[in-house]
Amino acid sequence: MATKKLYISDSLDGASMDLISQFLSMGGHAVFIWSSYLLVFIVLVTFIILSYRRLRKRLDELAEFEKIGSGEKIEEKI
Amino acid sequence: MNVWFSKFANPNRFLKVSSVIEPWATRFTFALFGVGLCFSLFISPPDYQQGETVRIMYVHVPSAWMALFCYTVMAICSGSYLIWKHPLASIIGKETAPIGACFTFLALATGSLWGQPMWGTWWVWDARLTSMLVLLFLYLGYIALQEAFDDRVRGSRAAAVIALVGFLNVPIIKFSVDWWNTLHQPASVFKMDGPSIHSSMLTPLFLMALAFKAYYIWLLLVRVRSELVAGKVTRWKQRKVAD
Repeated sequence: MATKKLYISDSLDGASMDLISQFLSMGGHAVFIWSSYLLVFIVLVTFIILSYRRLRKRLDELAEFEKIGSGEKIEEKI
Repeated sequence: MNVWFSKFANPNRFLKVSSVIEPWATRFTFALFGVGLCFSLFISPPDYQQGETVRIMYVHVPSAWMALFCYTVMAICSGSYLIWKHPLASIIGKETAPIGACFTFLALATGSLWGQPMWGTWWVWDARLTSMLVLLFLYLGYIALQEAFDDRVRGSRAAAVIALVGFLNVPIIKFSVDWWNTLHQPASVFKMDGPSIHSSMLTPLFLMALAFKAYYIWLLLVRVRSELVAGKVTRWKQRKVAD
């Protein structure tokens, strides 16, 4: 059974659609403005994700060493 | 001052302080970006001359401020490292460098995207733009020097020297718009007689600048923590080899 596809325009009247498209077009300079914001967003988000991934990797590595280390200590005690 | 600095420079103390600051820096980053973006994209008016493109200012100017701020932090850390030999100063400097390089790149790229519709060109070899490009190369030189030596201490020392020498470029960037003829507009916020920007544009600018600053603190703390953990891992490895 074919379902009817819903478009955002179905739920918005003409006036609000005009406002949204006016906002998105940014006075005809959309390409420059949106790509500036997008670029900043991509760089900042990528940087923080990479830094957290590096931290996680190193913490895992340290945990492994500490596990081995504590094992050694227990063996020594025994 | 040295005593206070020594206390703070203890890595364990640093980790304790940073575990308190880090979640707050994260919250502030999200909150300030949320409010800042509302102001810069919706509430602030278009400029009477530049129209909507003025909105690029709200990401371009904070990026440029952060580029200079990060370099200043790097230079102070380099000085502290050379004088007091605090390893933590070296780590903070080292971890600030790639963040500063990213902000410099963003300032140049968003400036280019603003220049094309307003000046009719992506790039011009004038004083402000060229000195910012030199700043990017100084960051890259610092990062390369850190890694250039087998002996990490020698690398850090050489990088610290280049960071201090390169600091000369920071006032050149700031005053380049006054000293030379340039396409770039002159200072309009930090001026002797107060800012010449209307508060409706100054508010989003400062909110975004604070958001960038909070983001820097958050990212720096994560990266410094990561570096301290890496140091511990290296010591474990050395112990293993010694055994």
